[in-house]
Amino acid sequence: MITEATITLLLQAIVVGLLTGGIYALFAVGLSLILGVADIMTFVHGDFLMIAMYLTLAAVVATGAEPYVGIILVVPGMAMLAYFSFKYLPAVTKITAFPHMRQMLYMLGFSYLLQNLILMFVGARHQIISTSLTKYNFFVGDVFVSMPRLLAGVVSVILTITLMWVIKYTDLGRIIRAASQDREAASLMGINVDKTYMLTWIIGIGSLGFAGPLLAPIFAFYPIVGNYYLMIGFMCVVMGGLGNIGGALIGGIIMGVALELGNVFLPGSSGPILPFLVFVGVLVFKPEGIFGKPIRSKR
Amino acid sequence: MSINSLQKPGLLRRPFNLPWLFIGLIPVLLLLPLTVRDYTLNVFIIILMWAAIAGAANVLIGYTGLVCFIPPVFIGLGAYFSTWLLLNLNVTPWIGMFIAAIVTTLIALVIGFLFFRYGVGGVYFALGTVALMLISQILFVNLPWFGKSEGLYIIIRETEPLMMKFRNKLPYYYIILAVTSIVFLVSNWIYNNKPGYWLRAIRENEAAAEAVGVNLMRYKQFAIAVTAFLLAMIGTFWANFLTYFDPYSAFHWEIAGLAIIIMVAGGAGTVWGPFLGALILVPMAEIIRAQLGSTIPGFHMVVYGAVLMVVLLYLPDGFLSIATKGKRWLLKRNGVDPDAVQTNGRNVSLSELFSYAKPAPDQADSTAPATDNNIILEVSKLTRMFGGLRAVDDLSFTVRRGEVFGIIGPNGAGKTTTFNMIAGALAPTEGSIKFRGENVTGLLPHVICKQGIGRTFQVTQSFPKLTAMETVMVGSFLRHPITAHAKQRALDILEVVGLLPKANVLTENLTLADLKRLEIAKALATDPDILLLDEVISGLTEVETEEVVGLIRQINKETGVTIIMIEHVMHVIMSLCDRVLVLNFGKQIAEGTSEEVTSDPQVIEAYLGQKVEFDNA
Repeated sequence: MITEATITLLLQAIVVGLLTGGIYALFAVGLSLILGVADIMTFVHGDFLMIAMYLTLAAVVATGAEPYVGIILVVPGMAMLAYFSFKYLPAVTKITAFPHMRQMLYMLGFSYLLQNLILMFVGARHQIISTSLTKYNFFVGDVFVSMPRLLAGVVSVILTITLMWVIKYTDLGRIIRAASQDREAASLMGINVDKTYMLTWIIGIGSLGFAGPLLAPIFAFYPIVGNYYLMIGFMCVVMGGLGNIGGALIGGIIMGVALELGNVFLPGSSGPILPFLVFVGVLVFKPEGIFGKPIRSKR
Repeated sequence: MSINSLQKPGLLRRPFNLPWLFIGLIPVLLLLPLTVRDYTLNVFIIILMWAAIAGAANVLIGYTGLVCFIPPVFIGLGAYFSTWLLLNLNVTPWIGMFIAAIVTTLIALVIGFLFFRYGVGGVYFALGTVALMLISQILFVNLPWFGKSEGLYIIIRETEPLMMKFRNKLPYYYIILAVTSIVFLVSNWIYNNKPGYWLRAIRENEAAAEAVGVNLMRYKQFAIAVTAFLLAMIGTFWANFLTYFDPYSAFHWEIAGLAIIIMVAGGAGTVWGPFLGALILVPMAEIIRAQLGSTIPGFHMVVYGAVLMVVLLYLPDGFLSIATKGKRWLLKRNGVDPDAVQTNGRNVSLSELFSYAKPAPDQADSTAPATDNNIILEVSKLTRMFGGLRAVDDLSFTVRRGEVFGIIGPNGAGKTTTFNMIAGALAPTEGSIKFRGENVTGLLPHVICKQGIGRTFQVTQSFPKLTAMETVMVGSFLRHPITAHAKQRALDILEVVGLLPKANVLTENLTLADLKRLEIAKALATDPDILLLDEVISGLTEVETEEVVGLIRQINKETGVTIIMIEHVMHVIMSLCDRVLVLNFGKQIAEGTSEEVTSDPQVIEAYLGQKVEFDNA
């Protein structure tokens, strides 16, 4: 039976889901770039997001300003972290030559290291940053719109589309795509492939400099929060098709909407099961992703 | 490398599989716990439990190469099912353990079926299993029958051995010791027998494994079932030992992570690796946790992470490889060649080896009319489309028993596509293939191989981390399921192709010429009636070419195995083939003896003309 209340709930879930999905997409597009272009099976992308959130917290504590102002500090901070990690951290420099499985396991170790180092220094307490933006929350009809979520969703989608535009229409984007398709051929065309990989790594992690401050006022964070975002991010990427940036955007939105629909309509605390079921369903019935090239061998 | 008839290869290849090492461990493992205090005993139990978990996961992850995060799911299901039986139906965990293991295995088979039928592997399978872990967690928090987020409790008032309830810890030690021993014995048996060789072949190269008769689906299912059964047993123990668990502790990300770290650090894909990894890492982490846990929480996990990274950087084969290398070094210092091969001085003739292929027909009688009796392969109206491209177009030909049949044509003529369709790697769009009068059109590669068609690949498909002998054994297991027989047959075949001195060399260290021979040996090991050879001499020097040509001729003449070969080198085709089929743009342009074909004006125009000009230039 569909009542007016159900429709309001549904609309509410879709609005919140779209906004959350936008943020997932920003995370997933960066991840997709690193996976697809730099060909690094990064399992630390979530942990870098966690670091971005703690950097935001540090900026807020130090200055007392709004978390969103933190973007000014956190984006260059993350970009620098990416640069130095690519340049000097054996975790990143050495593994580009490894096969995927070994990279994955290696990154798993790196992820444990990062998470527990943070745990050692800041403790396991759940943190959330308050913002005065909540006083601008509003209703459209019966649907409640939270200002921090609206801001985060809209800014994320704008950033994601900008990134896609850069990849598709600029020379930098063409270089990145060439390097991702054929490393050797690209380097014969005079492209500095290593530099391109580094650039992708920096863009991917730098974008977390936006995601961190946007997310910190909405969701609580703690040292192992990265696992959750990594999982969601990977699901978005795989659903959209590995290496397909537009697909990652749509994957993110599907995940966000599925999560909210689950939260509203599934009993108890079983809401989050919906996006995972959607993901397993895609993997099992269409393993190449919704927009991806086939991964199974066709006979 | 010399052939040393005194050395036993088993001793050298797997220096830690020595029975005396295992037997020597037994009294230590049985008596040691009697001498220690409760805390240390607890650490022993945890070491054994992780050894068992890593050892069980090793079958799926290490042997089969399906890296995944599924272990907590199987452990959790085992714990939940057996404890549910205990609390609701008063079934003792001694029996509940097996019921839970069987139910968990059935669930694992469903999971396996869904993922493996399209060949979902690699990162995709890994992520899928993470999702399954989270789904299980959410399910058990919300299902009404399993205590929801509170979890389940087992209350122990007094010692009841029949209900697996003990008030002191010693009995738990012996239980987990028994479980760990079962895990060890099972994984050891698998490693040294047909399933282990086939699982490792799947890990190394699925296409090549399938081509020598490995049923990918069945063996991946076998691996996931074994792992699920063992982990569910361990899960039952875990539940009864802890007496309390909830969905968050059971379906925990860290269980999967630690299982993988322990396995990889010890040596993934080896028998002893996971056990060695647990023996080294778990006490280390426990000491760190005991010493620093209160002051620096999480430090032991930092150590786990760092160990995993360092091992993967500098010791990709784990701690065990240090010992293996040490053993090799010791042997070399004592003047023993660690790669030496045991032979029993047999001098096998090919015809003896392939007596099944008899009776050998009158050779090269290509003038005789094709009759039902001597036709072994009949291809009719075969077509394969790739999108709009007709790679093979309405192709028909017959091959007679015992002949050498050549397929030539310019690049892109559809030769390899035709091979792939005969061998089952590609399904034809239209047309049919009959082998010994039976329709084999569209069957899977492992079925076709089992029927008696062996193939080699244009780009050699090898198992890099298996030795030459193990590679050939993967093939010979198809008809000889007993390890000793498969091994004898592999050694015989290696001798025939001239690779016996390199039997114990890892495939990744072989030269191209050796790899080509190994391709032939691997296909021969499946006892084929037809051997499909796809450019086996491309990339070889002239001397190597002559050797391989001689080998092919010998195989055909002495054994009667029918050979169909794709080749570009004309003089090889001329000297070997009884009849030749010429393809261009997917169509047959000529068929006949090599003399007939080379004088055909159409062929000269399409193919040979350019070739001759080019050669003279």
